[in-house]
Amino acid sequence: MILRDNFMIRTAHPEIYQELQQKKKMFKLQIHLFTAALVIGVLNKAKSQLSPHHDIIRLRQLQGNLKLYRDIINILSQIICRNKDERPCGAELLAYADGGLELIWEEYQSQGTLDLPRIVEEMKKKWSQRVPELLAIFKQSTYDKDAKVEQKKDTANES
Amino acid sequence: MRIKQIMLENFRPFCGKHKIDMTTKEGRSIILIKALNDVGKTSLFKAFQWCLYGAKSRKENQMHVNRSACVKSDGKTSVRLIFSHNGRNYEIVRSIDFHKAPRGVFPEISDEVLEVIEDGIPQELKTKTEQNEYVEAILPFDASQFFLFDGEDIQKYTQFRPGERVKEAIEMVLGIRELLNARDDLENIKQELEHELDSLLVIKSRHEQEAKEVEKLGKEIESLRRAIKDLDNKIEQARENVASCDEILRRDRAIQQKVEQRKVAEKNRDSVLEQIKANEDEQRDFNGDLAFLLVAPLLKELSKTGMAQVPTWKRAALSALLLSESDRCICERPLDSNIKRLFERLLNKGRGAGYLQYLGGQAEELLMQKPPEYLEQRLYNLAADRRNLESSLKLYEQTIEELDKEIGRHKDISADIKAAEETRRRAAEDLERYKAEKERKIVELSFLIAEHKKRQAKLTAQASTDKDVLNKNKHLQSCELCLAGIKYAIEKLVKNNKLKVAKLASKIFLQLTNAPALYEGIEITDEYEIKIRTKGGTVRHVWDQAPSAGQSQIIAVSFIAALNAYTAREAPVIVDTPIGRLDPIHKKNLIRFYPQIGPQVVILYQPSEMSDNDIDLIRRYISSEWELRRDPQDPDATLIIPIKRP
Repeated sequence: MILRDNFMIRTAHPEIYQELQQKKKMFKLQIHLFTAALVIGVLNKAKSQLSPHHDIIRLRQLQGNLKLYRDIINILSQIICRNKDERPCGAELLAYADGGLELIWEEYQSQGTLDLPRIVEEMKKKWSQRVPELLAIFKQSTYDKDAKVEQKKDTANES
Repeated sequence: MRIKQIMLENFRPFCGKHKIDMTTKEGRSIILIKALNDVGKTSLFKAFQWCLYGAKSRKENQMHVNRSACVKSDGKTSVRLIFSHNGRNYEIVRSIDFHKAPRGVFPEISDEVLEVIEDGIPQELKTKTEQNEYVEAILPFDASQFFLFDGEDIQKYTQFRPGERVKEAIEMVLGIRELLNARDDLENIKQELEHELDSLLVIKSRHEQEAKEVEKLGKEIESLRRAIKDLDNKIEQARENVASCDEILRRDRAIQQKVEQRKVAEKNRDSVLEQIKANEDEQRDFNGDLAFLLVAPLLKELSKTGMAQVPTWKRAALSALLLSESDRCICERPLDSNIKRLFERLLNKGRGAGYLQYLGGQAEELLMQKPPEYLEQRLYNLAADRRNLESSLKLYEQTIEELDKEIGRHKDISADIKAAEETRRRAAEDLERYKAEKERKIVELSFLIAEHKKRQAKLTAQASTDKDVLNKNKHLQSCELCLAGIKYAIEKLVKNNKLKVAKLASKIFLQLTNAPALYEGIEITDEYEIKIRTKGGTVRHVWDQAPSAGQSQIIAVSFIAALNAYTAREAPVIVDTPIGRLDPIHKKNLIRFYPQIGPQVVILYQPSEMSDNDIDLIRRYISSEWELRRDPQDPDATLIIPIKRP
């Protein structure tokens, strides 16, 4: 499922964004933190239970240099949403992003900093287990979808 | 003096009664006492000093009382030293009574009491002066600094010009002091006899006027001597002023150096802080790409997935072949139903992977724009830089903190240095003036003495029939002979002893130093200043040579060991902090040397100073080993435990 252009990226943890992005200035833009948190959340299957209420940015605003982030969000949304409709897909995406953010925050609070080389190494190890699993899900979902489309076409032709 | 036993009762951390057997066997001069810091090593060292010489103040005595003991009840603090000296057995007990006091409050105490038993007979020493004289006869306080010393503290003998007290102490240790005292006493007696003879001649001589003039000359000599003595005092005072200014200048310049070091450290710290800020900015820039690095393994897989590799032209060709309903392929092969099913499957596969192919392409594009290898390398570089910067920052901050402690409140010392330099200049001028004045007066005095002697001899010869004059003159001549003899003996002894001490100190120093190729030995001046002779033949004061703390300790130990070898006093050597900050070569050399320093050597060390391997170097010289351990039941109490070795 490709998210609509006017999809609003939100968070349930504006205070974490406030601390890490605005106060500690660890990230230039909130979308930088959001995307990193989304990858971590997906990879760790960490979903936040809280409902996001604080707006960050609309997907369509990710233009120019920021288009790359939109691509990542799209790729991940395709992988995690399977055959879901846009609304539950968007909610799931935001839940993963906030879940990842909670993991980042936990690390930050316990260490007082983010040990990024260690996080990257850990993520690499996790990807080696998760990539085949995610691709299988993705392939399955795309075949199912294509099969449905073909079925529809055949029915139309027959009629 | 050879210690047999020390007994401690409620002294500092030693709660209750404790004793250490210090008898040494033939050829085994070493007694080792091990303790961690703050457990009682220095307290034990102080116990020896206190037992012999007492405390300087009441407060010091209050501090000697064990905390736990005085919290429980009234009691007694005492140190008992049992030893032999010059073939006699002694037992000296110094004690104070204390009253119960709550924790944190100094207890009320009685005056010190000293009991002395010599060969089983209690000695009656009523006054403090009698007690001091008794102990001083065994081991004078000033001389004790060469027997009971702190390994690190003895550097002072190499770093400063020795004061009058140190000089006297050295002469005392070498047995010269007694001769010097005899010389001074004889000089006084001679002057008294001259004066008495002058007075006698005024009465007895037929030449009364001449006799009165000789008497007047004698009084002039006396007054000139007094003036010279005054000048001596002034010279000594001026020397002390110069030395004290030097000391202040040395201290202030050291502080100034530290202030400068602090400025440099501060500058470096600020530069590191700026670099950390730059690193943070760069890290922030990088964190924008963090998501790419995190997702890179997935993108790589996506970009190479085989399913995304069915190209559009292939799908178009397959569709055309299927739609043509031809029974032959463009390659002229027959298209049967099996091949058509295979084409359909391939086509479906291509269709099914359409979006995945799109994503694969996207992933490839992302990977090209943000190569993960580059991102990863950049992240590791940033993290390594950050770690290095943080450790540099920590180092600079520690340096600043340490320097702050040493600098204290003296932030700008240049005005103090200027003032001290000015005071020193004036003191040095005074010193030179007094010295020149003294030289003049000495010349004048020698002239007057010669004149007085000639005229007195003439009058004495004229009154030679008088029995009183004859007797007085005989006494005077005997006194002069004795004085000349003693002066000769002193000259010889001083010269010989100094030469012997310097020779032995040189030998020991070359044995102990880690750089024997650099040095030729040690010289000792008339003022007992230590000089270092280097291989090039240069002779310098130790403080001009400015050796390291370790080298200074080695020089001082060599000097003290040589003094002890020629001492007229026999005493045990008790060393606290024997190794201090010595490097491994100095340490090994010194440990090997300790058994030779005296017939009884007590070493109070902490485990990091001497390991078991180090102790093995002197194992065969050890008579006994002890350990001071904190009482697990009472943090204010220390236990003395003998170490048994197989």
